[in-house]
Amino acid sequence: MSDMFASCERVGVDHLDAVKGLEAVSDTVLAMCPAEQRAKLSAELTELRRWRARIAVIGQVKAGKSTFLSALIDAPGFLPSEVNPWTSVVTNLHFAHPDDPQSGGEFHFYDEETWARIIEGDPEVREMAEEMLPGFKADTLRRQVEEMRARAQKRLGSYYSVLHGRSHRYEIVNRDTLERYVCAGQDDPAVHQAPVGRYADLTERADIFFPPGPFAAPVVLSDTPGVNDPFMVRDEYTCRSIAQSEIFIVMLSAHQALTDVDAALLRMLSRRSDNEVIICINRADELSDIGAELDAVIADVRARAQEAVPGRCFTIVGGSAYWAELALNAGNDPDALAAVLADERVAAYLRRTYKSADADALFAASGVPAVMAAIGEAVDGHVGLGQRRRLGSAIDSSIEVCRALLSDKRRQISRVLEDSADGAASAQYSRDALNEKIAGIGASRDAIQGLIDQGRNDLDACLDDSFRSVRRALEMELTGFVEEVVKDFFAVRKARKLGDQYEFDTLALRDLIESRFVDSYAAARDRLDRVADDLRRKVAAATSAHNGGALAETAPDALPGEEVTPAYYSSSSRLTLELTSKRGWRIWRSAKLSDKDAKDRLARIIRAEFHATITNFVTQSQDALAARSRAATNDLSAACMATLASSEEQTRELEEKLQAVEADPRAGDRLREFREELKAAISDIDKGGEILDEASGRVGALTQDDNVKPARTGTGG
Amino acid sequence: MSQVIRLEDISAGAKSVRRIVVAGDFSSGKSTCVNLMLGSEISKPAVAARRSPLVRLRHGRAAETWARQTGMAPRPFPSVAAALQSDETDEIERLVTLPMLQGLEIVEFRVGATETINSRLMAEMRGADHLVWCTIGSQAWRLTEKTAFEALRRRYRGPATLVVSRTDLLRSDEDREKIRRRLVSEGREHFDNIVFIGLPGSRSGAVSDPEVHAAAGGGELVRALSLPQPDLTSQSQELNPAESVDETPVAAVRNADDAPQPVTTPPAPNPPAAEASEAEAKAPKAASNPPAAAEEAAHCDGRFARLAENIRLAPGFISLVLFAEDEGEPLHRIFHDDETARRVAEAAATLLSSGEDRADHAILNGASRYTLIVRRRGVVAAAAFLRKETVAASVLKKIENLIDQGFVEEGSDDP
Repeated sequence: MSDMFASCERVGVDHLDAVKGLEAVSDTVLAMCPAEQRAKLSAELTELRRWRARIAVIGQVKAGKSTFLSALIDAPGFLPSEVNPWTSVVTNLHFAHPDDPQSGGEFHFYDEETWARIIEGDPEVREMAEEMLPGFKADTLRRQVEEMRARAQKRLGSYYSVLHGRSHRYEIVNRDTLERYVCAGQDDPAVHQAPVGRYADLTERADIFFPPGPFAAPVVLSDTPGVNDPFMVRDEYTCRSIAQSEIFIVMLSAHQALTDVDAALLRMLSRRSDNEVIICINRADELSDIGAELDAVIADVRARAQEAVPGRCFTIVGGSAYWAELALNAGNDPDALAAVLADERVAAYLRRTYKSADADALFAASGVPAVMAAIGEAVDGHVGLGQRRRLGSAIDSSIEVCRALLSDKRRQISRVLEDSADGAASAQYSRDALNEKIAGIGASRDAIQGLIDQGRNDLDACLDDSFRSVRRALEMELTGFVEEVVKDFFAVRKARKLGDQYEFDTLALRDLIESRFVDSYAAARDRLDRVADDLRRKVAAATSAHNGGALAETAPDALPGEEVTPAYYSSSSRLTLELTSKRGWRIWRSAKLSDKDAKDRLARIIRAEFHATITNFVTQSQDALAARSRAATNDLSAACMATLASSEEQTRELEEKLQAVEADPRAGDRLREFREELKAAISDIDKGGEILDEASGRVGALTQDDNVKPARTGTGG
Repeated sequence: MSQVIRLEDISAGAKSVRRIVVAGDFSSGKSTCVNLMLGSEISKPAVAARRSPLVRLRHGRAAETWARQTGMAPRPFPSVAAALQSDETDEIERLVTLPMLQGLEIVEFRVGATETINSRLMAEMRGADHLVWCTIGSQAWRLTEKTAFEALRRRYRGPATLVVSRTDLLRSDEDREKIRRRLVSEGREHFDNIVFIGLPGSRSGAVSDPEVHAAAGGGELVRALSLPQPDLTSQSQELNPAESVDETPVAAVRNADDAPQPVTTPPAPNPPAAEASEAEAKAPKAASNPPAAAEEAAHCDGRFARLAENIRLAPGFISLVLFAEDEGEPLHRIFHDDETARRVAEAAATLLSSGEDRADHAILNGASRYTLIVRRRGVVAAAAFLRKETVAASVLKKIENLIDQGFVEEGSDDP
């Protein structure tokens, strides 16, 4: 690790400590858990151990994403960067996961199916859209993907078909290796034979592994191709990769910070409340009056980010990847560093802001330490906390089960102790009660199975309703919009002011539909949760006779599908009717076109444009809700059966012991000994209870969010 | 009813004023581009992106800044900075004394996402003679730019130039060449020319220095736009320092009219008998904008303002004066000082009464403007436009409307 990073706190130290604490508590609880519960808790533990904070660097093409990211991972110049858009593959950089190697990498190639999916899209929708909207972007996208495929075929020859769906592994990955897979060369004949970009058109993603370096907790940093590229394929890849991350570094250029495209990106990323969004304003080195202009740009970006996403605070960092690169390369290229430090423009800024004009100050001004600190806060704070809470909630519910079983056991034992105080005769009475309880558990089990089956049916019905209500809500929004547009259109048509074209803005509708989607999903989820809750209560009542009603269930906020994020669409948002083109649009001005026909046609066009969006949203909600419902019932059913089985087991054990005592020829003495054993068992149970209380307290302390600052703003650099 | 000059009689003459539209996203180098075109630091690039009204540059005998705020009539401001203080300002018109601007109109506006293109901007495109698209070298020609440009292209089929700005910041000639290659390959179908410019911020004040101008790509830019080479050495002295950048004073005294006409200005076709712009030329060089006039423009009756605005928004609008026929005192004026307005009124009155019958309207064909004069209900209106096409029946109708409805109370009796 470069000395420069010495002043940076390693990312995720607190998170890692908290995870270690939770692991210790888990071990304690696991030792006391019944087998089934143990499996469930272990699974959550594995899940947390498998977790990596996923950080995506996104922004417009050529904002300096790759250069900044290279500096951030203390590997200046590692990621290839060029003056023209370059990266066209999502590159994932892996750090600090115990299961991962610390070097090497793997490059994954497209399979035919994925390619076909990008090229074809939803055939029905595209056909419709193409018929109605000349120049629909699908054309361009398809053409570009096909060009890409042709280029790959040309470059790779017969090798092309061999590579599909495969991957290449390397023990060591350097810049040359990366260039072969990650860089899309220009469409320049001279480049075709060069090794640079040889596999680029076929590569879907790259995974590169590093030693932990500045990262204590496991992270994956993703370099994305960039949005707003006329080569739409890059745009498409970025959109596809966004859903998987939870921390975002939005890279802006100081020359043109926060364009409309960037603002749209911020809005989209902010739809999930638990996402962390760090805005990084790069290229400060290129400003002429660095101090004043950078401050002005940061203030301007803050104000406009606030406008774009009211009520949300972003961490805003100003800096320069170029400066970071120079500072990190000080050893190899001291002259370049000296030259920049000698530039009075830079030196004056450094002296004023950092009191000195040396490599350390330049590194601080680069924004890398500030971005690193923001990532660290997010991992230690709310992003990591979400993960720790999931394990915490699993531990808590295991503790509840253990407590219930212990108190059930204590009750049985106390009863046997009480009954057997008069001697063997009344011990028989106790045995009858124990056998009765065993029979009762069998009956409960049947009853619960019935309840669960019924509950699943209820949930399925509720799911059907939910999908329909989400679709209905979206359709309503669409219908309202269509009516507005139709009204406007007719006003223009009636006034005979139809020009060559008629345009209407669909951005507003997209926003409406997205927010309606988020709202209607939340409503549907709440309905589903109510049904699940009802089921839970019934099941709890049915088991309460045997385990005090404790259910090892997953807390609703730890279930999947708590929130949905509408997918990002970057396609042009304005629909244009070409009223004079040869494709029949003249008809719009024709007197022969009846109002009803015109209305139907217009409605069809708008619906066609949004058909895919709505279908996607409905499918998305369907999948999320179904997963949530499945998780809720499976958890509940497994948890109930597990506690009943444990309860039955401990009752049977007690009964068998009592039976053995009765069958003993020295029943009187044996009974006295047995009562002593029971008394010892009760004190063990009480000790177990204390251990559980302590464990529960530890979980609470490790998952509370007193360290989390919900809203931060700050300027680094 | 007879007319001094019938609308149809105006022979088709060459357009006398060239409109160059300079468009691009914020901070894309539009101001630098304009400064290089004129060889003079006319506007200062803004760092922040919050306000970006349309800016129109024209030649004027005196430096003036007029700004229009949403829903209001335009009014004068002491400087561009003053006009920008209000978030409501959506259009600024600057009259600059640079001789090079004669016969030229430069319209500069920001285009972000395609959604920001409204009918107002499209109207500017319809009358454009050259479209300049500005883009930053390091992130040149992105998808939104391409779609926005294509949207502007729908109403405009003339020549277009891609201006790639801030190329001084590219770290090597090799990088410049790579970018040029990509832009040539991607922009071939859209642009006639691609010009690289780069003027370091620290030197923006020295744009009229021939060396700086040449190094920044000014020569190439001027050639691509078929503009005359700005007279760099003399202009740097000639331009009133107060007039450059944002500090345009209300009453700048200039004597730029003595400068020779630039070669691009074609001679006026069909010089008419009377000449309103000659009347204007006789006006004192020292123009003034008394505060009362500003008040008048800002506070006039809402309906009147709306109707006047309709006329003002017509493409190529230059100025409007309304006066009572019998008095000759201006009732309302847009982009005119009092003195000029009076002269125009006089000339118009003379013209209208010169025919055998008193005509209802007439058109004057000037060196760089067409003036439509309308008499109605005792009110005379003189509206000047840059091009002949605008002085059509629709504008006539608008002016008649303005007089009929705008002067209902104060106008005189029936004609």
